[in-house]
Amino acid sequence: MDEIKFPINQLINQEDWLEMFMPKDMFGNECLFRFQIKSFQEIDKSKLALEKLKNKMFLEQGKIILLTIDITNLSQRAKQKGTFYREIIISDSEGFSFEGSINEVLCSSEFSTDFSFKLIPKIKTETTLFFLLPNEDSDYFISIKNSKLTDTKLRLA
Amino acid sequence: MECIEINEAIFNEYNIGYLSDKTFSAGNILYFRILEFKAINYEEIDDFDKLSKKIPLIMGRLFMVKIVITNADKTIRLNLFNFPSWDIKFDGYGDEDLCIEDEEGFKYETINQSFHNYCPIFHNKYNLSVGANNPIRTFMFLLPNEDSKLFIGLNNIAGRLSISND
Repeated sequence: MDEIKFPINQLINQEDWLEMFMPKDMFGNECLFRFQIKSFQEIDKSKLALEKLKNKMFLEQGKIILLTIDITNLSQRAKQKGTFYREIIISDSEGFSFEGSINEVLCSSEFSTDFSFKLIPKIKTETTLFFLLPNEDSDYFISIKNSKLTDTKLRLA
Repeated sequence: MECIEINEAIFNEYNIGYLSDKTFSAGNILYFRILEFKAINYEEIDDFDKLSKKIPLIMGRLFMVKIVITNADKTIRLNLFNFPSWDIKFDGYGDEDLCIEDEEGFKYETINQSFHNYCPIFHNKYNLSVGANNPIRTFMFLLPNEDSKLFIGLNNIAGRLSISND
């Protein structure tokens, strides 16, 4: 069965909530996150301190997309944001997939609204994810990386 | 006993023992008493303006827990490898030892470290080092907006909580 992909613009327009269920994180614990995509927009690279980067070429080659979401950790314990972040991929209409970029310049920029790197149970918070995408127009979709291997599921809440 | 209701512990002045079963501290016991547990307004925090950018994004209530370490004279020996937060890691890196637990079994870790990221002064004020000179420690928690009995619990299986009669 093909992995389930959700069109991002549609999710934003319909204000849909998604659930990510992960049977086992790296510690073998079950995880459940509920989230809503608030925005998916290109950011102005001139507002980033790119000069801090030794090799900024890769950031100059594409557009940086800021994915802003509201998320609630419904697992019984605090979870690292990365537990969620690592599972998410964005794909374009041609089927190319892109993982989030964890970069110090991005994460410490004014665009990042994260309060903590841990997601506290039951507490809704806003978090930001960064993606480096090619400079081209496309529809974009959100799905789970390696969902067949990890058995992690993405579904409408 | 793995969970102790916080209000009951304050009212009865329980001396709570935390027996560590971690590799580097197995057998060590930290005794503490919960002095205070209360919700606080964000405005009560020094340097609130530095936090205000982040706070509106969060849906929850801020709580403060103040504890006194009652065998502070002995806690120093827990500071193995000069890593004070290793054993009594309410606020250290990685998983915390102790947590607050609600009736449904959801566990909440202190957010002291998160505050420290944005507001070092706050961190210094509330995150006292462990030792005979600093037996009182204060921890902040962000809890959901709901009514529940709240407990002091363990965030991992390497240890045990008990009520001591000492």
